[in-house]
Amino acid sequence: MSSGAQKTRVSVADWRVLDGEGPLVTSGLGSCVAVSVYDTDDAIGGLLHAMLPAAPSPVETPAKYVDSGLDEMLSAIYRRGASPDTVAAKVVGGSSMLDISVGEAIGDRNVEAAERALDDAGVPLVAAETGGNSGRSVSFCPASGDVTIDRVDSEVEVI
Amino acid sequence: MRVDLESLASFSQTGDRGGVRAADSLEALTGVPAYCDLTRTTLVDGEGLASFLGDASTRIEVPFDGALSGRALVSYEKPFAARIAEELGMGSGALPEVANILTSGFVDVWAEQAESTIDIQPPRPVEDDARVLEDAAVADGSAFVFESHVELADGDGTCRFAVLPDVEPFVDYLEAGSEDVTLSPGELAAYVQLTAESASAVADHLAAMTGIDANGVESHLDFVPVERVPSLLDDAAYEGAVFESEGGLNTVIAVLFDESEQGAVADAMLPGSDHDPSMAQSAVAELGNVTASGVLDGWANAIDTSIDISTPSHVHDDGRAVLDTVAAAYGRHADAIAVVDATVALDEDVTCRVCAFPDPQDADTVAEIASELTGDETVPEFPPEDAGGGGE
Repeated sequence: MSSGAQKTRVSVADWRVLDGEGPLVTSGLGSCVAVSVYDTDDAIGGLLHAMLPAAPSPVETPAKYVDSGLDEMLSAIYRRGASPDTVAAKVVGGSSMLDISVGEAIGDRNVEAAERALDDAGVPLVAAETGGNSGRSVSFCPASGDVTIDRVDSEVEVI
Repeated sequence: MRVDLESLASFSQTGDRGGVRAADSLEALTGVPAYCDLTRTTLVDGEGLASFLGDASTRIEVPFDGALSGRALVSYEKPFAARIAEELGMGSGALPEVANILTSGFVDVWAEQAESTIDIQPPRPVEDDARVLEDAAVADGSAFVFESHVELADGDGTCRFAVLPDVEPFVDYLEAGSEDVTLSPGELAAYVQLTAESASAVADHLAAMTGIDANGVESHLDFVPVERVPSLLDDAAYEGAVFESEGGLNTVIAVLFDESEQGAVADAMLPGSDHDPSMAQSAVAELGNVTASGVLDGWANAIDTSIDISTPSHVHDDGRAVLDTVAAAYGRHADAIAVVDATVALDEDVTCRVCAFPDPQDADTVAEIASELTGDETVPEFPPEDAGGGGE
């Protein structure tokens, strides 16, 4: 994982942790969710881009799934020095862009899985921008906790 | 002899690891975080192979031999090349070394599964595309390409990295790595034919609807780890429609237009009219419907069945977000999927991209279609059924 004051990309089924301004960025969120976790006292944070709600056992690619990806990323955040007492989370994504039967409601299920996994880990969810029917791109600043959301044909939003 | 493409679908995971390893090697060399974006294992015909050589001004070829033979082609976009020159302080002299590092990183993953080593030959500039194509692996009209896109943090531009293994040693390598695997390059061509016929149907139906003949058609069959599917498109806004088919074959098919200006597709459909947004949306949906139906009709006719198509989901959105949704839908059932991938350039203003994602569980039906389209009675085994995915 990387550190430093530069834009760091997070791919699908991936997470990155860094300390500093960042930002961490990920694009092309459809039904996937982006979970950002940061320490409100220290400039340490991570961004997960997960595709599916729950990991099988055993899991080969933890970051592909909300639950196992969050587990892995939280461990890395705490290893960097973040305190479990002062972390907070924001969740973005989980849209339902397409009316197709295969993978029905996967966006909603991803959001529910993120809320559940954060609750299980004792990380408060302080903001969310989820659902709807459009794609999103996300830029996350670990130092401030700000999550900037960009959509085609929409105003930029910060949560 | 049966074609076992399942091993190729799972091998896209190996290609993905190779692409990531190549990016890691670059990161170690430059000290700058490097990312592997797209990775795909592609079956392409000899003519289509040319599009994988890239068109950047600086391109390097790195031959390799040993347990596997072939060549890597590294095509540097200008901003990427400039960044490398700046980071390494060696000017453009660093680019052959970077090509060497990328190739070495990639083939190391193959070498780990081989009984002997793979040796990298000195890098050399690509000066003659025709010679490279002559040397590249083409058997019975089809070739394998392992393509990766590598980017540096905070940098513009991409390094397009294509590895072309020689077909016969590669097939031997695959067969040695898996029991009961038998691959026939000749039968692989059936799938290449399927993609070519599909792209041709797209071009024909677009021409019929818009009056514009295609000025460029590309097609290939991609095997992609599900998490890489979104990177088949860029994050520009695409206008189009996504359909689902059922009946003889279950498929998700996306017909997406990359417009130089919003409304360019509607302008092509309704020239001279001052159309409102809802009219433009209907026109795009109709064009998508006709195009998708054209592809699916060709498939249905090949096996004398019917394939029904759903009401379209209209999209005007980030292309990656559209495919992200399709990838997540299939990601529950498979780790890697096959994509019939066609690109038709109508003119300078509009390019149509059609990506068809046959349900992995209908693999045998797609194999039958490919076989019928080539008149080959041998039914190849089609991936990515059970290509490593656990399912739910």
